[in-house]
Order: sequence, then structure tokens, then C-alpha cells
Amino acid sequence: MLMTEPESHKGYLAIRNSVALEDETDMRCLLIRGREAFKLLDHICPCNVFLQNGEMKHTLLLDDNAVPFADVYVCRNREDAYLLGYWLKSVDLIDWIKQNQGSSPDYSVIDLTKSDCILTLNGPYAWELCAKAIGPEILGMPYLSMMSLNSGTIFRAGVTGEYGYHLMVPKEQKNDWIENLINTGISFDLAIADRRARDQSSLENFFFDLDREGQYQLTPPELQLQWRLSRQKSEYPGSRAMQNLREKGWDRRLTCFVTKNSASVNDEIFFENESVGQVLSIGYSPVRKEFVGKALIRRPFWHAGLKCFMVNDQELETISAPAIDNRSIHVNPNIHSYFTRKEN
Amino acid sequence: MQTDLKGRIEIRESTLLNVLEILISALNMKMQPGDLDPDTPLFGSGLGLDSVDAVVIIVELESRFSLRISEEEGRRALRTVNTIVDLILSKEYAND
Repeated sequence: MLMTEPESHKGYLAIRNSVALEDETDMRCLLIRGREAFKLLDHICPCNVFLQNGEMKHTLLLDDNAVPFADVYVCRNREDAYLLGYWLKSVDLIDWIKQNQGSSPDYSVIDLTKSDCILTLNGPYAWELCAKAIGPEILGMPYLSMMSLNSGTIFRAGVTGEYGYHLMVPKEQKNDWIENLINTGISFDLAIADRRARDQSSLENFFFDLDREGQYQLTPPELQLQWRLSRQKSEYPGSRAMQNLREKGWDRRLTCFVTKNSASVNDEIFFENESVGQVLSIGYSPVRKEFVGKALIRRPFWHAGLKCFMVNDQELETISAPAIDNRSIHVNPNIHSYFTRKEN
Repeated sequence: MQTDLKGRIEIRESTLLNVLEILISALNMKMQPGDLDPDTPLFGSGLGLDSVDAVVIIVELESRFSLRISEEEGRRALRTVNTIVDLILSKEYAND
């Protein structure tokens, strides 16, 4: 669900300006261990999984039609692997892995979602709060890396375009962690974010969302997600469909847009009297003070920078993603601090 | 299609293709322009480029398009392929 009204939203504003805490009940994690854990991942993932210890990679899992049903990070922790992310509720990922595992590699899968929970901190100063609450070693974590803690694991990633950390901790310690983070977060003006605030942030930064555009049976090129796949890799679930698509080409593409007035999902977009596409998602952006969305637009109208379309008799302009200039781009942990932000 | 829109799309497409070719060549990427989507993030996720790559890209863009890119412009433009295209088109129109 996205933000639909031009109202101030505390969690969203904290994501954009300070730091927000979210109990991410929809994020899940599988631990894959065993001698051939990475052989298995190499078999099922469309990207290369040659990761250094502590490294993460953002990828997709595809069905036979090359339609993504999971939006996941592959992470290496010594010989173990984590699959962290989101997948369709209708999918039993462990079953799917078993069906697609190839020549019975030596591995086992543990669904950590049963024993652990995920608390996420997002915001331009999330790094500073994490360092204070957990330890200064957090400051050394590059984007897309993970680290084991005394009681849990921390992953540096996120879908808001700001600094983001996923803390995976045992469920029985969840309340203690939340209390610690809230207490530490008081001086950072920490706010609690909900799914709505995260969804709006993710939309503004053009991140893929299975519950939004994931519902339209689109393929990675149509979603502008070819970077999640390796061009050099030829065998993985969905690879045949991807190969066909690359040979034949595609005629529509997800494009970021802005409009001053709201529209609805599935509304048609016109150039003069010609239908050129449809709205797949839309939400009000308090930063831009207008509506931001993603539309599926057909060739040759699928480019950014075109201010000539109409939706519901209102002007619609296609723009380059991301739709906002994230504050985190301008915040450097080596020289900045939440407490001196006004001087900076 | 209106002539001016057709013209704008052609300019956007040719600039996009130029930028893709520059990126692929400057960064020695083993791919074709069609393998790289216009809104692909350049740093962090996406292509996973680093600060050295950023300098290489800026130097190449300045050379190929005969323009100057300030540090602040570079920081804002080097987010996706499309944001680079925006910068180049805005500078070219500014020079007209």
C-alpha cells in the first residue's frame, strides 16, 4: 500500500531525514549450509554467486517464463549462504529449491524466519545510530555486506535509497533489541516506520516490489532489472525464456513518472489519443510534493524526459529514476553527524 | 506521432546509446548496450561501480561530449545511465 494523500508521514520523513525503525515481518531468510551450498546457489540463481566472505549480491529468482517470484540477496558467511529478501506468499521457496536443485548437491536449508525476526533501520543517519547501539565496527561495513554479531546478524542493504541495515535477531530477543534501538534513537529523532513508508521510499528510488509491479508477469528487461542477472551465465531456471526474450526483444518497459494529481493503478496513459501504457504503481511523494509512479510504457514512448502524456486528463511526465536526490548521497560518515547536520 | 516528440525521442535514444557505449568501453564490460537498462543504478547495487570508475566515466564523458562536469554535477548525475543522459542533454541544450 502506498501513500495516497499529501499528508506528513512521520515514518517516511524519518527515512528521508534521520532514521526510522521497522519491524519487517514480510522479509524472510533461509540459511543454506553444507559442502555444496554455493553449487546449489549457482544452479538456481541467474547471477554469479562467487562472493567473498561477508559479501552480498542482489538478484532475482525466476520461474520458467523468466518472471521473478523472489527478490533476494545472496550472502556468504564463510561456507554458509543466506537467501535474504522477499518472495511471493504463494511460493514455498524450500520446495522450489528442491525441485530445481539439479544433481542433488550436498546441502541443507533452515528457514530462519521461524526462529529469527528482522528489524530494519533506514535513513541518512542509520549508520550513526547503528554504530552507537551496536558498535563502531558497523561504520566499516560496505554497502551489500553482512557481519555476525554476538546475538544476531546485520546486513547492510535496503530499498529506500538511504543508508539501510537489516538486523536479524532471535525472536526472543526482539523486544530487547527494539527497546535498545528506540532508547538509542531518541537523540536521532528515530521514528517507527511501517510498510507504507518503506513502500513509498522504495517507489521513489525505483526499487522492484513483488507486491506492486511483481504482479504483472513482467520479465527482467521489462522491469529494467537486467543488472540482477549475469549476461555470461547461460543455465538457470528461466534462462531459456530470457534467451528467447533477448533474441526477440521487448516492446514495453517500466518507466518512472511524476504527475501533479493522483491516478489509479491500471489507469491508461495517452499521448494525444493514442494509448501508450498504463500505471502500475503510484504514491504521493512528500519530498517532491507530487505523485511519483511506475508505468509500463511501450516503445518508443518508454524514455525518460518526455512531458507530453496524459492520465485521467492530467499531465504526466516521464523522468529518470531515482525520483529524488537522496540525502544519504550527501552524508559521509567520516565527516558528518546527525548532531552537526545543521552546520553541514 | 508529432514531429517534435519524434525528434526528442530520437535525440534521447542516440544520447542514451552513446552513453551506454562509453560506459561499456570505459569500464571494459562484457555486454552489449541492450543488456544495460537506462535506469540501472551505477553504484552500490546495479553495476557496483566505485570512485575510481566515477573518475574514468567523468573523464570519458567530458572528452566525448566536449563539456565540463563539476563535482556536484557528477555526484547528482552518476546515479543511473538515464541521469547521465539528463545531464548531457541539459548541457547541450544550455549551449544551444
